[in-house]
Amino acid sequence: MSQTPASEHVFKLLVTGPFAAGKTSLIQAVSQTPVVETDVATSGVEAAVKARTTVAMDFGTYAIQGGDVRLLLFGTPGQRRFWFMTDVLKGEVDAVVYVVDAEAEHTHAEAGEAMRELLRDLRVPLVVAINRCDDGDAAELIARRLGALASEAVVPCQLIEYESGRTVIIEALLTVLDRLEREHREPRESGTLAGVA
Amino acid sequence: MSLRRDDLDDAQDDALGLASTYPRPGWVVLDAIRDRGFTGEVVCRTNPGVTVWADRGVIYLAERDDDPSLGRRLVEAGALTEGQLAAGAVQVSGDEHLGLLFERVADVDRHAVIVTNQLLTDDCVGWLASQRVHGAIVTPYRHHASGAHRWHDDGAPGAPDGGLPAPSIGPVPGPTPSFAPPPPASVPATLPPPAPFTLPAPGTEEPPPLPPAHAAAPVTSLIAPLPMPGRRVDHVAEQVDVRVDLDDVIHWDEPGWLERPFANDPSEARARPAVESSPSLASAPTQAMGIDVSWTDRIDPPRASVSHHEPMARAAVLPAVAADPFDRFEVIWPSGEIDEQFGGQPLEAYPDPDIDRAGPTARLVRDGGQRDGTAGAGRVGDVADAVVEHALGDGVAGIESFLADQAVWSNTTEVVDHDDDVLSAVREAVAEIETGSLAQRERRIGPRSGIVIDSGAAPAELRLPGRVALRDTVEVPVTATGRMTRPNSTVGSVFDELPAAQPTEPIEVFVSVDEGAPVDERASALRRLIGSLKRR
Repeated sequence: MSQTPASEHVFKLLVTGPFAAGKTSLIQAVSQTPVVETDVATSGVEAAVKARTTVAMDFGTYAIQGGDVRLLLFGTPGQRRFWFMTDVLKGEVDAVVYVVDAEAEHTHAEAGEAMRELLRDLRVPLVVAINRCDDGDAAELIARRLGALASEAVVPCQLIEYESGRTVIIEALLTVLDRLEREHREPRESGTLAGVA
Repeated sequence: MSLRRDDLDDAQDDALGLASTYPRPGWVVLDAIRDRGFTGEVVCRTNPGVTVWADRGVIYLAERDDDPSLGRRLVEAGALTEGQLAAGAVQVSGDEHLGLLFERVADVDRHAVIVTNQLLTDDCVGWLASQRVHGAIVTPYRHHASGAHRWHDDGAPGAPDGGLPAPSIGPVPGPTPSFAPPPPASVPATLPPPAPFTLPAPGTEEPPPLPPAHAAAPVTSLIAPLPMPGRRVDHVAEQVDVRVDLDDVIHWDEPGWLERPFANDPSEARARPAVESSPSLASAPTQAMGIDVSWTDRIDPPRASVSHHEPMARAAVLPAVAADPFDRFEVIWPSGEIDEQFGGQPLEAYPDPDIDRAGPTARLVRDGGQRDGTAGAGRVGDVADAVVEHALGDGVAGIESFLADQAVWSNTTEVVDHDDDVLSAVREAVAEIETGSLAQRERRIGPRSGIVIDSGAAPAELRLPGRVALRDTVEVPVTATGRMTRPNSTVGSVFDELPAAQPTEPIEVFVSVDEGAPVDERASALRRLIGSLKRR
């Protein structure tokens, strides 16, 4: 039996946020494969916002040439009644992208509550994507109001444009990289100190 | 005996129960303040006008319209010096606020100030008692602008050393008390404190204790049927025959409030809705216990709302049943078959649920077809754990069952309408992820030759598309941070029934070695990924 270790690296991002914030658009902006969607037609008050909505998850992938590095994007439903899916999907993620519609201010309070709840037991980097917003200061203000820490990245974006969505994903991956490097550096430093002691 | 504050009317003007009865003697107004346990301001139309402030029925300050300010009066009386007044007063909107007088000026004689204030108040109250009041403006919970009520923060104004005592009432002067308006300033001083006066409620061992503010009952209360909410105080006084002997008036077994039907008191109606709305329910337990339920069991002391004060007949009332009982259990077997006659056949014919994780699932069923479940928009947190467990354990079946519950239990019809849509969407998504990713993975790892797990089975015997075959033999990628772990092995899903894809070559199952890979390598991979995204 031959054992040739294959070095595949998989990175997983969780894209979450309130209803109609732009999560599916963000995944579509990056995914190389057709996004697996669980959209159904909306009804009631939601129908006034958009025609279809995610009820379970969105799933998109991105792989670099050679396929040994892959990015998995998992999008959650935005409605409160489907929030349990976030608990299902949040395992093993490398970072969370929290998408908020800057203009849908009525969703911000609940979004902030959900964001803090999510990150309470999920110690991963957070990137707050403020959709439909071009002003960095305004985006920063919204994110802080939601409860984002000063150290957490805030990206104003227009997720209707793919380029903007890629910017958000790149920012999320940069935070993951930063964390990786920090984790890589800190154990060495602590080991050196321990050896000296 | 004072009335409950709950019984105060909403209209401010009738907070004392004297509306449209003016002119009335001043002492009637004062009695009403005390009887009602009133807190706030009462502006009496006299000449000159008098304003009275009370806290829980105890008058802590009274002044005439032409009186100087409280601070000035205290200075004139010698309780304060000009300097102390200047240092202790806080100017609030043009008023001298003396609420923090003792905190701001340490050398102020607190007792001197309080006693002086009491004397001034008693004088004014006594004068008011002898006047004829032509009307009153009642403002609940408005206090004197000087903040004098804050001098009694350590308790009720009438508490010992805490503020003004309630006007004392002396012994009833003989069996034939006079109800002529008392002389100014003499009645409160000459009436000694009364003995505790409470009416024992039938069925209770101890009468409810009265708060200190109510301890001093007026003379009228001692000899007359107790005033109740909605009954005017003057009515109480005017009913009393002053020539009658006290012993002839007090009838312990015929309390006056029995005249009033319970339904007239909204608070009492709320306290025992089951009794009032369902007489059979109320009486059934007591009758079963051999207790004679008579009118005495319905006596409720006006201020005794605690359950242990209530007679047994009322305490035995059970709350209404909130949900319909379940009619039966249904057992859902892994095959999807629903056994509606659970218990009608031996369980041995089925796999042991303790051994086989795909054992039967029971659900509660009403005849209406509704299943009992906690799934619903309002209980996402509770449901999440169960769904996560089922989703990880049973895959789509878990999600499917949850969404089915959502559809069944949602109050809105929209979800029901989309039941099939949601289920099919989830099915398609999971199928696409699983079958698609597997095929992609096979294509990718073939040339690279990952770790081959020899399961001992011939390639043709492998059954790939199902989750069972995949998860039972494949290690999943593990991230460098170690957070990704092997998912729960599953034993079945709706996709197990799909026809198995026949592999064309021996399957080399990929095993990620990220766990042992250096962080540098992972970081490098991430940099490449970022670079690729940027170039795109």
